[in-house]
Amino acid sequence: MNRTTGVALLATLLGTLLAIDSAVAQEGPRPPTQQTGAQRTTGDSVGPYNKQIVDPVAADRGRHLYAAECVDCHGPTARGADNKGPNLIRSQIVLHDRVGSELGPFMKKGHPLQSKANSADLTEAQIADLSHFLKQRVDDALKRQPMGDHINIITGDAAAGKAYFEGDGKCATCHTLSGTASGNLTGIGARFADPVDLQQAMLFPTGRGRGGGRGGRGGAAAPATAPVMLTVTPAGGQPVTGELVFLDDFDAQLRDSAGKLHTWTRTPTLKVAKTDPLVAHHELLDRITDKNVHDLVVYLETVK
Amino acid sequence: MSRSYWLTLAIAIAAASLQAQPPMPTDSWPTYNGDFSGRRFSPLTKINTTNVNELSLAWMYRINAGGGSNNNPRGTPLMSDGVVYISSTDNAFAIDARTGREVWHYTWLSKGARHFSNRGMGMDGNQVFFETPDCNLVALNKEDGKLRWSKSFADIDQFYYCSTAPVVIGNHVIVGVSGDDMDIPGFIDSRDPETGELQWRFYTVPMKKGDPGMDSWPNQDMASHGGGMTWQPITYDPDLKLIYLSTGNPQPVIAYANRPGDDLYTASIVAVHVDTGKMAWAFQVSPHDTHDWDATEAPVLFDGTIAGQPRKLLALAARNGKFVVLDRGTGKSIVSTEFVKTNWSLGVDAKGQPIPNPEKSPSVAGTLVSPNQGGATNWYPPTFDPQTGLFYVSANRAFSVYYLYDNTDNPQGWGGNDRGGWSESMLEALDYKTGKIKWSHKWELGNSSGLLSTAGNLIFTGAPGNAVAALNATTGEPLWHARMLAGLSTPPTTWELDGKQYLVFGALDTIYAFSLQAK
Repeated sequence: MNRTTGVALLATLLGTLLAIDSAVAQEGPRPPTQQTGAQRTTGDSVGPYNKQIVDPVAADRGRHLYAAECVDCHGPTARGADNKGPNLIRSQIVLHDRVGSELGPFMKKGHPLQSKANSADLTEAQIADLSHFLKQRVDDALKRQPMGDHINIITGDAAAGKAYFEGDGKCATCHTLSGTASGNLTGIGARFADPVDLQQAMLFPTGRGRGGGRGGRGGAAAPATAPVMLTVTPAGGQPVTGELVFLDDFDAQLRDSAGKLHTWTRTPTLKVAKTDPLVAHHELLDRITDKNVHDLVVYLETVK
Repeated sequence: MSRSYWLTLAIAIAAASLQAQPPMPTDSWPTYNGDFSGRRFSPLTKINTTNVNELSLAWMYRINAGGGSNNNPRGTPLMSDGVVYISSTDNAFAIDARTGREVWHYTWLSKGARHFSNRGMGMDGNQVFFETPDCNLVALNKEDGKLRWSKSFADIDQFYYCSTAPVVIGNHVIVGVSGDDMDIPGFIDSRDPETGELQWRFYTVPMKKGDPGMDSWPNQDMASHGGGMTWQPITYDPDLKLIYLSTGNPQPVIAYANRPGDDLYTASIVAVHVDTGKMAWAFQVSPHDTHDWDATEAPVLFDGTIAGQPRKLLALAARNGKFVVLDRGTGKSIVSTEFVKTNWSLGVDAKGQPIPNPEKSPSVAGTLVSPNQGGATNWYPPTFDPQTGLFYVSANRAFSVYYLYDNTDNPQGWGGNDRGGWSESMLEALDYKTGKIKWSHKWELGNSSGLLSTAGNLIFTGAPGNAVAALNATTGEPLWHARMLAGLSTPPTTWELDGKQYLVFGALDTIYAFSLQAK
């Protein structure tokens, strides 16, 4: 570390301490429910930013107050109601609020309440509760929040799903719905707690693919599938077959049936053949329609 | 790089004469893309197809700035006067380009906000600039890393955070904003390089009555909360004095019930006058996006020949799988096709803009869509090689299922998401005149990487297995690779110093420099 780095780090530490201290000093006494960003341990807020962390108990108290005094104009989710009250999760007052720091002075100035009570008479604790409730509504809309559950993916037609399974989908080529042979799907409808996990496993049996998308959650564990096999033939040599351990554009590695590990550097004369038992699933993605998907899920859900 | 570069650049901008695109400097890498064009093509030839397999490690620099995104730069390393500059969230570093030894390390005291990534720096003759997650534009002395000034330019309480690489154009520092958690408008600012004062601001969505594009939204409230973040550094044509920005997805994301219409100018390419911030034209790459397919990929500027006529062109390979080539003076479409097979559109309209298939919108029971949310490509920059006439892009063919979680008539923020997936990755070379694939190298494993082309007929890219690789630009044949401790996380760069050509890039927390050993 050179001198500049050292000075910068020292300044950072001192600055952090001073800034936290000053943030506390500026806010004055806090209600007991307050938490600040400075206390967080997530990567979200590494500085003294006093982002309000929702207290769910206070938010629940705030929900009752909101229902009694605000919901008629601002709507059940605080996103506003037509021609009545504005959207509160886009409100600058709400977004800049810290446990009543903005909401309190706003209410003191007078704001219509459903009960016709005077908004200036709301207590500091009530304002704090309301603040937590509104911040919770804001958080509901964020990308990284658990954005509710799947509503209902059981919308298809079981008979059509059965027809696709046995017909155009060619699922029955590899799968049975009873028995113990490889590829059997005995009781598949009971293996997943949530039908959406069944849908995911059906479409993406390798599970958490690269394609999970920004913020997308990975697929559920699919029924065990046969391993990907690799056959490597060196120039003028004998082919070696085994389970794929590693294969990229430069090297190939497999483990043979005796458990021996083989590694090659790939060259133009080295023949590498991969056998993926799931290739039919990958190819299906180009053919299957959304109706087919929804029908299949409903059909497979009946296989308990 | 000599200081005369900046003088030459200033004269070139002032002259504004119609001339062939100047080549990228060879003794420096002074902007995010190496020059204003976004081509990422270096005229250097010392490293070429005949000797690239003799590249060896020159030095490594390991970042130790507290972990997480602080240790993981994503922006292209800059270089001038024998010093490499690179930034991560809240941190900036200067590294001796000959030895890899640290010159200085600056740390910004963050107020907080989302620490997702930092996408790089800008510079002028004396200063380097970078954005911080808490939305300050920071100017540092190049010489010693001391803070010259900082300027807050977006409100983190509204869930903005800032990561875009600033680009310096004469007396303007152009900065963008990130963050699509909540429904906020995107913008770019032009700021004074000496003070950070605002010169102009361009909002990417209509903010008030009469603003262009307002009729593509149901009302002003939705328009002015409509998103269109500006994550990607701009490119610039000094002759036309036009800045080209590519904008993010509309808000709310995935859910769309309350924003019928095209939602202009989200997921678009927009040309803006550098001196005024006024829009010249726009082309929407994803009208009424419902899949989080921003169009904030690099708008690449090059001069070419179409139907025998010399044309000033702009090409963009988009996250939604589409490839467009436009006249960059008018925004008129010349080529509009796709570089991977997709399943979400019904062809193109009269303007050459894709027509979304409403049946592939996210749904409660799930809609199987290709590409996935990660996209057919993403922020990592492509490259255009004027020698081969090919546009190279790191491509993914991917599927996932898009679910609507909020099916009310007034969703906000994020009302759904995609899940699961299957994908395959390719490095593709596209003929800009037709959009047709000249060659495609399919990777054995998933791969996404920024690219670099050189006059040595080489394409440099990250490759599977934590590798950096060089391919023959004409044929796609892999010629060289080296394995590192992590996959490439910054786009690769090249420059010459003391007569030696270097290849420099970051992989997670380490900056690597390769060169040919002296014989």
